[in-house]
Amino acid sequence: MISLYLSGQTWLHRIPAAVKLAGLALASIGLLFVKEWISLVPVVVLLALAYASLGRPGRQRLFGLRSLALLIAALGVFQGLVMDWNQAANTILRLLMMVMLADLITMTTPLQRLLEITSLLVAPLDRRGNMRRQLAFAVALMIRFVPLLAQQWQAQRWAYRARTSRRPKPLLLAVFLSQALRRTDQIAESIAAREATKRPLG
Amino acid sequence: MLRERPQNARWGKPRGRPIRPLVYTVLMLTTRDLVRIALFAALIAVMGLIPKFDLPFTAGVPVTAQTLGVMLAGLMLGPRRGVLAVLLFLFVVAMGAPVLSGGRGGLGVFFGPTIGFLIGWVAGAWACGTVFERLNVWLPSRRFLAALIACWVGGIVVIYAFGVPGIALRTELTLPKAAMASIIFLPGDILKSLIAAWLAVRLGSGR
Repeated sequence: MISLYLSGQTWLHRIPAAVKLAGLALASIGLLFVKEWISLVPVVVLLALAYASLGRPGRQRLFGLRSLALLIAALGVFQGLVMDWNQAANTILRLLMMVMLADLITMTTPLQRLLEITSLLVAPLDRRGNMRRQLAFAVALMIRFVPLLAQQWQAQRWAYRARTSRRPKPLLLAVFLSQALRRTDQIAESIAAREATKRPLG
Repeated sequence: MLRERPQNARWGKPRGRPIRPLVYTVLMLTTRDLVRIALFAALIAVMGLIPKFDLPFTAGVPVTAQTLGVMLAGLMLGPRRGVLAVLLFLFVVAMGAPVLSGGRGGLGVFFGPTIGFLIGWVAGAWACGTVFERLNVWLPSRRFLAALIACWVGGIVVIYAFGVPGIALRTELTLPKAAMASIIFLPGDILKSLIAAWLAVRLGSGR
């Protein structure tokens, strides 16, 4: 499955993940104290430059942010029209800054590191490690399911269109879902069977 | 590694109405539960991959299908496992999977204006599940109505109750103005609630 992480060895990749996440938290807290939107403009520009410094994939990602930027801009324009343009500029820049910063971190931190850090944070509550194992299992299973479900859905639509020329009915969704649910039960049984051969249940 | 439901329940037989906090449920998850939670989380993700479509009467406002997945998770898995499915989905989004509608993902979305709606999904799944459970007890022969009301309460009221203040907090809009900005998505959500209720009834409770 495509992830939003860009592999590479840029300067951002080399900063340890914990430092980056702590920086994100500090930035979001620090933002509460900033009142003038003018001071945020250089920050946003710097962040855009950081994107560009990652090379072509960085610039492509910056371009890919445009839908979110459009939403933020639309909200900002709405706010400017019904309230105050200064506040609107403040809002737009604040949101842009936080979204870009968080996205930079997502781009340069591998999934494994994020999972490790989450594990560490959850560890005090989970001394026997059961919850972490369940979480890892569930994440892996979900990531495996997504392309499978998408493929099944496509296959069903094509099969329907090959048989009739009518437009697909919502009934197909019910068929698709019931098939998916039955498949889950089969998968659950096979996993439970595998576990049983390793260790007695209970 | 993964437990089956133990025959000798350490917690004993619950007396009266069982109080089962989320932690209890997490500790008692069977393999089948986990697989179903992962399935519904994947379903919510797949709903996000369906491209946004424009309803003809909403004047070109894009409608996403993801809330349909959230309502279904609450209706069909019950409140606690439905919440876990939505939480799993949000966790995977946070780890960097682009499964939020529009191909969004990563930590960035948690700092954007729609963060309130994401939190609302968690509460909404719970509300859908609980209301559906209760209404099935009170109105046993009208499952579609029960599911529909559950979707309206959980899928619309609760989600907007978190989403609108979320927008207000992130953008400094006042609450009424934030509500005005979000009201355009309402017709799409009502349509989704109809579909979710219909699906839930057709497939049985699926537990």
